[in-house]
Amino acid sequence: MRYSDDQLKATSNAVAGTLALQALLVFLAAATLASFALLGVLNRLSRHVDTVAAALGSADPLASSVRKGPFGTALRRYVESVRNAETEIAMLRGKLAQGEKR
Amino acid sequence: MSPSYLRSVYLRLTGVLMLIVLLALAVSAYLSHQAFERALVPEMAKKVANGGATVRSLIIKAMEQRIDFGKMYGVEQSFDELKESIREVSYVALTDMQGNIVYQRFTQPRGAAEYFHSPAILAMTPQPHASPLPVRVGDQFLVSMPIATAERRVGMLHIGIGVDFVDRMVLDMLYDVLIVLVVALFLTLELLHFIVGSKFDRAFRSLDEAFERGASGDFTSRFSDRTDAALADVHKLIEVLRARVNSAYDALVRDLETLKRSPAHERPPGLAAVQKGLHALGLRFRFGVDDGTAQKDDSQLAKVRAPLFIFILAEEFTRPFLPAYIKELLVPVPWLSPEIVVGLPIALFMFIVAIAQPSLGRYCERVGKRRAMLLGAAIAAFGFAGSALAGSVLDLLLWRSLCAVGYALVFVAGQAHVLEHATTSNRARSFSLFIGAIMVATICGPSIGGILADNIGRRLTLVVSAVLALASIATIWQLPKEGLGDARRAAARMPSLREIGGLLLNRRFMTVTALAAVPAKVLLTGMCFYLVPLYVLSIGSSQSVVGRILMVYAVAMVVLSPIAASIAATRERMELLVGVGLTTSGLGGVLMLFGNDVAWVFAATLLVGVGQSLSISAQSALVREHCDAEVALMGESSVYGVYRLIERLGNAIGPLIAGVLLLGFGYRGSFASIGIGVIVCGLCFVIATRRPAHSALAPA
Repeated sequence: MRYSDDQLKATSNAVAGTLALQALLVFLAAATLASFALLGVLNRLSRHVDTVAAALGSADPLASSVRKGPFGTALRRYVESVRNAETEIAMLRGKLAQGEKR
Repeated sequence: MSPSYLRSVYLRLTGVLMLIVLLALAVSAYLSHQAFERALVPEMAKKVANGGATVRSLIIKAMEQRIDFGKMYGVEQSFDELKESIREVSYVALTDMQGNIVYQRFTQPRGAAEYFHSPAILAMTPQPHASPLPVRVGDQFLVSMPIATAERRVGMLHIGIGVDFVDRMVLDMLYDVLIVLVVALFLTLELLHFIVGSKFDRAFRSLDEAFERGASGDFTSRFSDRTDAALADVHKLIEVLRARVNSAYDALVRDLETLKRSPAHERPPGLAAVQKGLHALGLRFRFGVDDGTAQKDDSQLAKVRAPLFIFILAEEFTRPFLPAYIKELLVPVPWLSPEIVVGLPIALFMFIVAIAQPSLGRYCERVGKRRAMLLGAAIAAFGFAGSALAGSVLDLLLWRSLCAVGYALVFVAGQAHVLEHATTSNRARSFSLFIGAIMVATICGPSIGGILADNIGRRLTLVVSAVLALASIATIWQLPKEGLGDARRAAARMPSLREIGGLLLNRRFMTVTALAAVPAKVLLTGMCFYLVPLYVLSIGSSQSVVGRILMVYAVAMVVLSPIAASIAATRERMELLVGVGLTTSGLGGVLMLFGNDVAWVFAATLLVGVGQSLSISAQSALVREHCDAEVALMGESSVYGVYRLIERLGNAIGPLIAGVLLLGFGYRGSFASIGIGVIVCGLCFVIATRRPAHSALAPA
């Protein structure tokens, strides 16, 4: 006479049902956490973009706060290029103005 | 800025998600362990007590024969019989009324002697009907049963069950939970990519482009510039600066023109120098409005990833259980042994995919990629549904043929979509997107398919595949509608029979194709898609385990292929990689001669994955290296078309070869035979591609 393994299997299946529910709750919690992580990343990204927008609209676009950010290098190169072009245009305009005065 | 920045964002996000997944897994493991221990230990105690009752009755019978308790023979033998009938038993002991051990067998748990002398146990000894409750002692649960009759009390029978029986059950389940969570991670990342990733990528790419253009001195305005809502403000401000520079330049040009038109005596003396300076400025910077060179919108490219992923996932679901499902539907087929019939639907699927792709490529160019993909997904969904309802292997052949046509159509159309939207500069990235979707699906599909097949059954898993194929239609719908017959692209050309014949007789082409590509594919489909699923089930394991094993293959491919591709820079290295790769993957098959349990199958499949990842990129690149003259004569697409066709035919013959070998040599013999065959091909490849070392001395 032996104890039936079916009894063990039935208990195991009953536990599996409970576990599935628990796993679902764990998964929901994980999904919620992941959503918060995503929101965190998006917020940070949004802050970086806002800093760049503020810098581009300001008198000194290369303020140290922007330079440290992820867009710092690209912004610095862009602004330096704009400044170079404007300086050269201003220089030529100056030469033209000097000639006109004479 | 943007690629590395976005990569860092993705990496951080992936890191956080992985951490969350690991935490979720740890919580799940803890909860599972608690739940199993609570529910299963009492049940196991009942089972053990039931077996122990036999031992107890034998001892009582001996007592009735007035045999001295300490002088019985064959007690250990009855303990062995108990262990034989209940595998979980890890210790058996008989103690006297004082708690001293008289007989014992197997591994005594730490603290057992103290436990046997504890007042609670000694108090229980004289009660013949005390109910046996499991008590944890050291690393075992002990079930103690008094050996007593109404007249005489003898002692106690203690049976130990190793706590690892719960651990083993939880571990087995945890593998499934881990797989589900890893797949959930991949799905989340795919979803993330589908919902925001491509938009982000596009938005930041356009910002990067705007910054880069300005930094390189290009201040021209582009009418076609996209203004992504998320970054609209930044774009506007960049445009303000750009407009400021442009208007300063325009004003200077206007003033210069005005002065140039004025009478000569009124012209300022430095005018020529300014004009020269303006010319130099024009060389360094670009102003005004862009000439309007069309910029290819690569945002459409990423849209193909989600449908491909979902569709391929549907097919990958079937990998771990398809051979067993075919076996379930077997009917006698004249002249064919059951082993070969089991391989037939897999072989037919691969054969249709191989031969249909060139003609489907032309069809796809004719009707448009989107329409072709929609049709392919619909045909495959119908095929999956039919496969789920199949009554015998014969109608399954028909349904799997439909799946193959659908698969080939979606694959070809997806590839054509990528080709159409890729530019010369982003072609590699575009194809990595295409291959990436397929690889993620091959990692997730078999493991989930196996779990589903174990829990809801094979037929219902095929229904899930059909639903997935239908779901992919919804995502294909999002692809752009294109005009028919794109004039810029030449229609795909099928290689002619003459070309195929010419290449088949070409020694250099056949060295790569017959000695490397075909054996690699035979090993993949023969071993991984046919032998592994059948063998693992034959040794009493589950389809979930088959899924995990196939997942190992895909993970090895994903991790090692890019590394191997970066190493394969020269022809010598490519040949070496192919030789080493073939030998390594062949060793995977041979490995099965050394052991027969699941761990060996895991190791063998891992070796196959490692070997294939070493050789796969190199062998395809070697076609170009070996067949330079043929490429110049017939064109690259024709040479590669024939190469792919023959390579895919290798996929088709793999299961048939494995079936024939199985008939003659059994499972382990078949694994080893295929492995040896691939090693021999690898060695022949190395010999055939070996070139004589250049002599340092010039000939006299």
